[in-house]
Amino acid sequence: MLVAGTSLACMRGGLPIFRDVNFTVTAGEALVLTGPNGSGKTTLLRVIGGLLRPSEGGVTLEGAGPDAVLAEEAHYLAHLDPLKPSLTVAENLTFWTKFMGGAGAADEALAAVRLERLAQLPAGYLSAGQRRRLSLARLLAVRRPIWLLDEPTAALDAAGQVILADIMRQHLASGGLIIAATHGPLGLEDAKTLEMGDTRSAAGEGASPSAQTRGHAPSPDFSLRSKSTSPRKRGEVEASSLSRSLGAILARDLKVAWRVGGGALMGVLFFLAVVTLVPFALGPDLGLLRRVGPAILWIGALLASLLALDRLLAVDQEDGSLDLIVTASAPLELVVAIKAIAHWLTTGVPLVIAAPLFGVMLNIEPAAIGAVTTTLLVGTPALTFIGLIGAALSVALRRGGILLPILVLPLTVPVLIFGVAAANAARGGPVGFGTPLTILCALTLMSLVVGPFAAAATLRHME
Amino acid sequence: MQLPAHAAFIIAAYLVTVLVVIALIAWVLADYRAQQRDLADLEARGHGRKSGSNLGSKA
Amino acid sequence: MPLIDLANPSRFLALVGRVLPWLIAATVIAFVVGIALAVAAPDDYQQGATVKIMFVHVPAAWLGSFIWAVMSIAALGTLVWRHPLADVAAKTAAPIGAAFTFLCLFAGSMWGRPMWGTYWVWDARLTSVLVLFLMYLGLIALWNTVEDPSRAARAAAILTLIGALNLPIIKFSVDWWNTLHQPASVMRLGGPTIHPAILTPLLVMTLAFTLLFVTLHLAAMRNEILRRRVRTLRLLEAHGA
Repeated sequence: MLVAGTSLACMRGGLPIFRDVNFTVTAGEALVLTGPNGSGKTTLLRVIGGLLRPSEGGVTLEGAGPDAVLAEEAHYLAHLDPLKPSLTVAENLTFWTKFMGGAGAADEALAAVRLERLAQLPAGYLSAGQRRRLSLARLLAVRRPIWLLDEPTAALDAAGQVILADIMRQHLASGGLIIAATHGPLGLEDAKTLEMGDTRSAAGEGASPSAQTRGHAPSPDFSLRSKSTSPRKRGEVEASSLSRSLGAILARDLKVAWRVGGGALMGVLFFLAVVTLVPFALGPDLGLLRRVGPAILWIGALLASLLALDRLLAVDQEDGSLDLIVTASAPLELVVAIKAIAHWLTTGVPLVIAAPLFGVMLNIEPAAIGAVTTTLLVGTPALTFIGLIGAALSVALRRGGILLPILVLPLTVPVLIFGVAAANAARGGPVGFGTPLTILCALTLMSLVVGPFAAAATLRHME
Repeated sequence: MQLPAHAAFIIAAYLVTVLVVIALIAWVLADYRAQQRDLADLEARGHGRKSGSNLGSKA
Repeated sequence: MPLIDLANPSRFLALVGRVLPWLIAATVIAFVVGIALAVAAPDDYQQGATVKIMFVHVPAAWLGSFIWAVMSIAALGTLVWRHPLADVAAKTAAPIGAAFTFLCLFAGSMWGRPMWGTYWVWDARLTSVLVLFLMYLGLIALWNTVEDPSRAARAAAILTLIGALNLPIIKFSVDWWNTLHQPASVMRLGGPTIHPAILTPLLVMTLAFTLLFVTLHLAAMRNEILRRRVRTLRLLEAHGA
């Protein structure tokens, strides 16, 4: 196995981060990236991990089977620890193991980083160093030949650094390869170094030769890692590992929503607040409220579901989970669709359940309440899946808050029109209930298809 | 004796009151059990209340 | 930290253990007497038997505002005296307050249906209680959002006091809004004069509800103290490993 970067260059915001970087790492070797802050160590790791596209050159993987993808053979350990504080240590690790299609040796991995005693503790209680060790356990639980480590020693105490050095040595001995960015010593004796220079000048001259001269001759060694990456078989194995990955995402998102509690009900509370405020503006005239009731319910549900969208992908971005999700083997379209479904189950369904009660408060007649509830049940998935696009955009642009509603609100206009039209039709109007409801169903089905693709495309191109 | 007019609404009001009060009581009791169990768990792992002095010195 | 956080609450826990059985007994007796009186109470000449709903509606409404007052005092305790029990009291009172406010709303709508022909009317009192309910839920959401209880306590205390200042203003505005739109056409819940035959059971029921709240609150405070102890021990466990 061999990973090679040839004449790599990367630009961020019009400025070159590095130019003409060359390196070769073979099985059993470690490459240490050094250099001052801003010299592009993290950027280079993200390029190798497939999270960034180089502006020139490319990274090649040889000797890992005909259709091996580098990102799927690699573990990327970023600055952030992709952990959910409300899940236990073991649950966090098991999630990544399942999601990445590992065999699930979670217990041994935890023991290797000395966290076995804390397995049942919510990860929110861990110190920074313990969180780091839990992230390291992921590298052990799911065997992958290439490790991309960004400041792996950060936050680790002396004992933690010994553990890190041990597991890195074992990894190299079993034929893995490591590319690590670091300021301090790693405890690896014969690692090659790649000195990342000053942005403009040094990268070209100084850096690449040092890596090349000290490098061993490329000697791919397949036998050592035959267990972990035997030639890939498409078909059944793929399908079962895919469904395991998606199941893991669904279970995790539902579990986090349940543990955090309140989170799902926050939307209902906002919904109630909107429904309460409208009569203060319109006056307590029951006849008037009855007439505009379905519209109020739809506006309230629309705003409430928009409000919750902010967290749909942003949480995973903030803790670094999104990087691992984007580069995973599971198709990103399916993963975001599953995330949207989990989001709808925890935020959309409560709104639908609350709607009849709020309908009574607005004095809407029973038939119309049934109609509004039906249209909300049909229409809220469309809101979530359209909102998914907005959530992906705001994550990609790293702008949360008010941007998301501005992006999403215009897109929800058709859903609002046909949702309210169908609800009003139920109490007798110019059009029947069926026509607008059918169109609403069509809109929902369309958003179920378009939303995940658009969101996945957005996330893939984020830098 | 004949049921008064609107008996259903009176019964509903009292029934829901009873249900909410029962729910509150159940919540308090279940929470108490859960905390006791967690404390017992921690104690079993050697971090119990008995090591109170230990607690103070560590913090 | 542990000295204040654990030692003082320990004494409180012992106190709760001793007082709780007596409180439970008092609550049960008050409810038995209250319900007996309520059943025996005469019907209202105007509202008929539905007036019986008042015996849960009014005490629940009283508790809704009383518990906010309790939380406000606790909030002062948190902000001014930094008493460790104050934020425990404030936190545990909120869900109970929300539950009783909900009961007040529900009983109100059950009363409204025969009286007004609809479950919900944007009547001044009911609407004020609805706003109070929203504020309770907001407060609970605040407590749930912030993981660290001591950090949440200060934010919640400030919100509670702002709420206490705002509630009379809200009440006044809602009254004004209501009369503006519907000049006194809606029958008000529980008229201006209450017959003594109804007043006595009402007072007993109010006492019973208040005792119930105190009992539940003390028990919930005990739970919260234990929960924080578990949290502290878990943190210690995490850092000891």
